[in-house]
Amino acid sequence: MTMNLSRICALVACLLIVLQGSLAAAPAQSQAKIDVSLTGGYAKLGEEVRIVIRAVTSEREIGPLEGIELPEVAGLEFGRVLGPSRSSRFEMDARGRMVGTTTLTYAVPVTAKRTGEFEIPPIKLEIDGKTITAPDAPMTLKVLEDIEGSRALVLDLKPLPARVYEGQPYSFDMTIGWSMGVRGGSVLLQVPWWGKQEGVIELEPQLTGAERDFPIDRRGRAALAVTDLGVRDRDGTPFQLYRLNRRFIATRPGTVTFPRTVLEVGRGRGRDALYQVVPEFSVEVIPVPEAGRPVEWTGAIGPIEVTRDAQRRDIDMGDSLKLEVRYSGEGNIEFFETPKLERVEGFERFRLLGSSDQNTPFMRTIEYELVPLDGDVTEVPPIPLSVFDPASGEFRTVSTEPMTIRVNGGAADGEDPFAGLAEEEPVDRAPVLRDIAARPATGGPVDAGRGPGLGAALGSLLLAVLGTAFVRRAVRRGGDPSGAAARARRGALRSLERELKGARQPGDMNLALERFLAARTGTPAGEWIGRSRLEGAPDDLQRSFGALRERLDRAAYQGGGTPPSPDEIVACARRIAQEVR
Amino acid sequence: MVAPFLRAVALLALILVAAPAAPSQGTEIGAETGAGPGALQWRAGETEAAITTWREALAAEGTPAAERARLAYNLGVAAHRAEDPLMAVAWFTACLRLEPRHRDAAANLEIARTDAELTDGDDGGPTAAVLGWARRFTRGEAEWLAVLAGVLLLVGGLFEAVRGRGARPVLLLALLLQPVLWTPLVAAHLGDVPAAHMVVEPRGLKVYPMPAVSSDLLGKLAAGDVVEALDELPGWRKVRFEGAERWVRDRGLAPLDL
Repeated sequence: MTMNLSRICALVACLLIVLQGSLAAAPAQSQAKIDVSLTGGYAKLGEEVRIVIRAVTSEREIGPLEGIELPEVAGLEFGRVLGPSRSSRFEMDARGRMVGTTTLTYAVPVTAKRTGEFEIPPIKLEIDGKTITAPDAPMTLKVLEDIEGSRALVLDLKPLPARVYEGQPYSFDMTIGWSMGVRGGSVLLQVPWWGKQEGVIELEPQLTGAERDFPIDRRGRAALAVTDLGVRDRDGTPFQLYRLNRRFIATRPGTVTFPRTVLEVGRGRGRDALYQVVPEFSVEVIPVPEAGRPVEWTGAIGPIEVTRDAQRRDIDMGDSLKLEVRYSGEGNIEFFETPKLERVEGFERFRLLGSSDQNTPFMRTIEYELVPLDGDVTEVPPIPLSVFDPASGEFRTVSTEPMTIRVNGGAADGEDPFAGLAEEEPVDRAPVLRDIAARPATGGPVDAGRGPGLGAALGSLLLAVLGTAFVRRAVRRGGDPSGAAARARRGALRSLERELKGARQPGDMNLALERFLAARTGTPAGEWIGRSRLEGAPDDLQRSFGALRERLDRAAYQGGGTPPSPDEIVACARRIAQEVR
Repeated sequence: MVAPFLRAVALLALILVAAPAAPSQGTEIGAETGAGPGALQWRAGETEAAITTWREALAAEGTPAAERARLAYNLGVAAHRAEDPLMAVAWFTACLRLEPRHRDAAANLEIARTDAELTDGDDGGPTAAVLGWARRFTRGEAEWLAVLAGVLLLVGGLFEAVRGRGARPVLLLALLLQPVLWTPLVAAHLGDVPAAHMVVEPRGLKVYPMPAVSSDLLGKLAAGDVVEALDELPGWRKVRFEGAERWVRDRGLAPLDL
């Protein structure tokens, strides 16, 4: 008995030890270890460092980290959270058992806007519904100017105007390059503002010389076309240089911001990359002033220059002159409306046969085909264009120089060289354009296109089908309307009128009336002989019908009295047709 | 009873076939009583001023549809005189959308289309003839004609229901008139482009996925193409192109719904 008791006690003690061990081990297995750190404590200005967040557990599965709250640090920019990447590892422990660990890794890119020392506070995140703050102490990042990079790399931006007018083109002109001694790895130009500026249109680029695609995305998905300037000396050092030149137009007032532009050039395996940075800047966009704006201004914003030329200036009467007007300069030459020669003073002495408009960056050429209308024409008049000058903030007019020409022979002075053409070769039977409508149309609806709507149209169709079906069914209940009885009933009055016209004796009239009554009521005519009562008729109709029949019977069978006239009979019959069903 | 009904139907058919046109004013050149200010400027040779007057009148709110049609027509004539036949096509088309039976606009549209070297796709076949007839009605008129079709069918149906076989020709006639009276509405419904804009740039318009010339070039709209405008940005307009939303420069687009 004592033996059994001691055995039971030992067994219970063993169970308790095992249970305690398992209970103690359970939380340790489910709890992931969180590690948050910077990839480096030092960085060059322009260089990207990362905050790496790792969750490590011995479990096979681990839930994602949620609610990662990035702190705000003046001078630092945090990118979006990348990841997670998952990795698993298995190894033997000291007792020869297989032990596995699973790691989830997130990364947050960090870039500095300026040099200095920055403290990044601990980051809050959630795992398995539990909020954790890590690391325990703030992370320190020291950002230094890349002295070597500033010497070995070139990132020269021609200053942009601080202020431009709406519609005024401006250029982003940057020289990019590196010393021939440093290049060994990848090249990257970070232009985070590219294609993301609102209210800005990029004009067609002007690339002169050899082109090259310059990577602007770390994964090599995007590139910008730049001009290869080749190897050039800068302070005695050979540099490989490229030029990035683009023109933009702001289409709405406001501020256009250019965030930091960074050139990153790798130096090969095992060596740090070099960085060169253009700090963030912005351009203010203001509207073109209304004050002093001439009515003939068609949107041209300078500087714009205009020249003119013609291949032949000595022409025969009736010949055409090809006048080329070239607009050039930094202005918005491809956007304004060119002058209409018909409205320019002096051009009433020419006939404009046609014009063409060719656009290339910084040059627009309009070619007019003109025919002088008389031999006295000695020059092509100047063609003015109203231009807004952003430098002075005023409107001014640029004009072509007048061009001397000679018109030889042909028609007599002052005559239209086309005047005789119609008589000689008339026959252009092309239809003539009809003239304007001079008189205003007054009144009438503002919206002429308004109708009852498609629903009403479909509704009327549906109503027609359903209404017809309903009435048809109702009518068919009382018999076929096409049947002999129904037709006789409908035609009874007409038959009566016809028979009364041919009736010579009161008896014939009586017979006709009886046939009418038989047709209307669907009974044999014999039933109406001597009958003077109408079923369902109102009293006054009853009385007049009785009196009518009495007069007819007396005249027909007793030979006395005056028979009723056919009109009286028809009038009574009509009442019967209308009032007695 | 049948005879008046048939007479009414015959009269209606006559009206539909004849489709009364807007009075032609093509020969009224010279002194005109009651001419508008724009017309007076036009006659005085002040072309630019006349165009400005017509444009301002067109932009004013509450202008009756018939007057808007007249202004669009006049601007079409002015555009054609200014050697811009494509723009003239757009103005005449806009006029005809407001007043489909404007004879002068229809005649001038033919001329402008020829000058702009646009093909109208009219092969002279029966389909084109039917569509040409159906487009002589505004959307509102087409809806009223469809309602009339329903009323005629109802009258014919009721007549047949009450009178039986003898009235069947009336019902048959009402049924035969149905496709005639419904065609304008069906044609308007099928051919309708909401917020229609026409390409008036002779070289066509490049189509981009985004409002930036640096984005990929997806295709080109030809001169005279009509597209649905969806949105706009300064200098740009979003249109439906091959079923997708795309961007084109708005310099070469003219609205057709005034």
